[in-house]
Amino acid sequence: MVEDAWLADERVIVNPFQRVASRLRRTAKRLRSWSDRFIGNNKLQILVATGVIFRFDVAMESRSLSVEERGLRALLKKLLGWNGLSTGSGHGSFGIRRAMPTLASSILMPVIAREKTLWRPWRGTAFVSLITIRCP
Amino acid sequence: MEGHSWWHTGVYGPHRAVEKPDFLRELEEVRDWHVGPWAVMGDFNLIVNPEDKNNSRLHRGLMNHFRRLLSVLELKELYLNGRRFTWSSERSTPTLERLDRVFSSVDWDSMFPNAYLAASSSATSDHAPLILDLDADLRVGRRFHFETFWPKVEGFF
Repeated sequence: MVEDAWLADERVIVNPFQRVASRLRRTAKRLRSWSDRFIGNNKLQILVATGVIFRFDVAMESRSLSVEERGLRALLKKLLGWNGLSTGSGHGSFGIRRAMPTLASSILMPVIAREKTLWRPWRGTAFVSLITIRCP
Repeated sequence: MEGHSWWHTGVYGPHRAVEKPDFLRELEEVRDWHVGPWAVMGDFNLIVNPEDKNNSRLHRGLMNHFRRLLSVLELKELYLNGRRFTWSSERSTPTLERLDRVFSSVDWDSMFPNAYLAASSSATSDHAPLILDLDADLRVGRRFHFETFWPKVEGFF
């Protein structure tokens, strides 16, 4: 896909700098629409995942989380790229790309559908006001 | 702020208890070198009060040491909106602590009367990031005023 975009020259640009600029621009554009196709709404999903974690953070201060809640919180943090107490190994960007489509359809999308307000962490207003977790 | 400058000190306190007194001493020295409005913030790896931890395994000596330093340096803590703890051990029965703080001097406070501190999601860390807005819009919605003449106006009741 990247190769296709890079090499797809509609017209010959003589100036090598202009050529590189044009190719970079085209490849970036192509990459973006390509990633949207199978992930979609990446920013929103990350925002919602972040919001859900925030709700759990706050809840943890006054009660213990259930096993399911703990599991979801840990999963979301892992997807966002945090490897917990294990140090050094790997980065999560690969994980999020792979797991986000599943996560989005099962957990995040219903949440997005229900929520209209914007999450403004600096005001303490949570994006997600209610999460229903259905256990498989 | 125009024409005004202030000192910002970012800290990352040591984990090991033996190094903590040195860290506090260093903080005191930093203040000696820098006169004027001062805000010191970050992960102190120390707590101020027993309420800063969700269990009772406390190091009271260090806690008192930290409190003493804060009063010597005349630092006041900026209120953290919406959260009690900022760090979690991420275990199944987690230890929660308030390790991250913002302290400021009195002149810094009067420089930023609209400073607002909140915590964000701990998304990619075991700490919750703190967000410090130096000039937050703290106005509440328009207040309701009941005009005394209203009941006298025809159609009111």
